[in-house]
Amino acid sequence: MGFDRNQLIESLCNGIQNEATVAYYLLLDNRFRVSSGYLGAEFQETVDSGLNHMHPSEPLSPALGHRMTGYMDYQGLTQLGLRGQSPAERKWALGLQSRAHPREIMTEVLKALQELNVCWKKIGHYNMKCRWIPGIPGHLEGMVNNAVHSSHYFGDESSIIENDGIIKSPNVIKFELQLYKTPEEKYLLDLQRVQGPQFVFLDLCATFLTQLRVL
Amino acid sequence: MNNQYGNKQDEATVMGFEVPRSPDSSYNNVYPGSEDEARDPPVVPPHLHHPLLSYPASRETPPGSLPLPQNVILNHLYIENRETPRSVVALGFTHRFRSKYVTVVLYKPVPRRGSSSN
Repeated sequence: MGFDRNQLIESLCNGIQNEATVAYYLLLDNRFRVSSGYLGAEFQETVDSGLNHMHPSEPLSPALGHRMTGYMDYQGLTQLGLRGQSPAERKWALGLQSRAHPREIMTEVLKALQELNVCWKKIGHYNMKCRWIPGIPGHLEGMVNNAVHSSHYFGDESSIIENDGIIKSPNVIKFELQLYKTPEEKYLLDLQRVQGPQFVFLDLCATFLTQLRVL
Repeated sequence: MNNQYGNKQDEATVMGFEVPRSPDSSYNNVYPGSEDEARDPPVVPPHLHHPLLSYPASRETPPGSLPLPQNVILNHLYIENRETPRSVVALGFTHRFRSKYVTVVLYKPVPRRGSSSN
């Protein structure tokens, strides 16, 4: 295409945006057929063949290889067409992924939830609604600093449930779990907040990930 | 029927159309598994793979001009991809506050698992 190869390699490694690197990325995108909409899934199968086909030379492949390896690990289908961006572009993946059997995944997930005092109910196909009340760990799910309802601690379970006293905590977290299947024969656990303070939800998720031994 | 504490901030509630809260006793921790095992879980909707969090931040993007997030991604948990082993995990999601969108990210240190794991 008339660009100096070494100059192009240097520009790519340094994340410089110029005509050469733009052309490079355009060719890359074109080769991998990543569309800008929702159908980025189709790119995956072309990546392997495309990688070998386009970049046989040594100097070039590490730069691309690093990017591609990282990209292949990314669980999300973020576009490759981030031209001129620094290689340290942060990518965010939806939920958790696993190759295990769905039944095993659900068993592990429910076990972890139980250990964290998260209650659940099934609302659909691999779909659950969960509830967690921040309070004294291991205790009856209780309220935080709410002396008015303290009498309910000593009541039997049925009265607590009927009176709904415990759910008046402002920090109750409700979220939905949905297990999906990905095109790559993996399974994805999606968590969606339904109710509750944002950081409490995120902190609960971090604890959940730790309990699952994902972290 | 709605939670008194701040729930109205999160949802665009319309008078008369509030969803009644399900009875709390319904969270019974039962998971009937048998009928699920015959079928695969549903396929992940591709829309969910495009959170606002992944929007590229280039030099050309003027500050404060992110696109509006799609409704479908709201409140879904996203985890930042970092190379393992990682010492910090970043969790985030975008939610709606009245007519605006707020993306929240939590950075938390990863507990170390030594020989005496808990």
